[in-house]
Amino acid sequence: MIDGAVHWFGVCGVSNGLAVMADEETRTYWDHMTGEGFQGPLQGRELEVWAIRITTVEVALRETPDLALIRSSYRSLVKTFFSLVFRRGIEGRGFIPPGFGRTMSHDVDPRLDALVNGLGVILGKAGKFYPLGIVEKGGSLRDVWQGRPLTIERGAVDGVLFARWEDTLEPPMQLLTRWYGFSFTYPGCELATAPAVVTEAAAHEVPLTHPPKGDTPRA
Amino acid sequence: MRIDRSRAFISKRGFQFVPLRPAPDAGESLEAVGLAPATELLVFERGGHKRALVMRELSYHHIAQGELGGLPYLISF
Repeated sequence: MIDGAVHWFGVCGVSNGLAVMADEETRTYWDHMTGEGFQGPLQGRELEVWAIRITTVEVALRETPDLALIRSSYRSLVKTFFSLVFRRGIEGRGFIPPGFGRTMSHDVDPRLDALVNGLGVILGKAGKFYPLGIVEKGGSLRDVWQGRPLTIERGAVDGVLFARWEDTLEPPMQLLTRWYGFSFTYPGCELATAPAVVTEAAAHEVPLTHPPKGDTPRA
Repeated sequence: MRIDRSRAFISKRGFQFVPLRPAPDAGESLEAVGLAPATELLVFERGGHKRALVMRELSYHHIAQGELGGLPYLISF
């Protein structure tokens, strides 16, 4: 909603390998990760954003037995192709679709392999990336970021990272994303390489350095 | 986002993927649908109501937009 009116969005293109959104009403181009309008009549405006949960059916039903599902009835060969490519999900290797690499304005930040999946935590314009493998399933780590204690948990079943401020228990804005997407959106972002304090089940198993390049599970 | 317009691909009109636009408050029982337990979901809450979306489906649509509990939402992926 912008100035009290609902605008309708879709993806109109690709930049830096990431989807670019546009709204039908003004044809402003929007960054789909930050919600910021970057070209067009609403350039400089920001959509309100909040974190959403990524999990599996098994965990979702355990937490919310009466959870309702929104399904897509749209059918096309392209949609089928995307579904097949994504079948291994967040723990799969992933891929950059043909042609997407040509939209990148520069090389991907070399600190990690472009396709490493992880959790990007965001506060204002600052971001910090936690590679998926930095915490074992069922474990957690404590960090201090932007002067505040932060806990990063990884689900024992779904394997998803989730961040929460320790002082308020509120989740910061966060995105489960590939490294190339996060590092293009938050250039120069911090990269978690060693947990400050490891807790719970992962105490003796969490690597003290980030996974080496290309060490994500393969599809 | 730092855009290099000489490298970006942006359509002047229309959308590249069909956005998912469910009816207001749409949703069916997740349990009854019978998806595999490991199926990945995006779960969100709006207006005091929770809904789930199948990530595999969002990998195509990229956008789901609608209304839940009287409030508009936009999910991007």
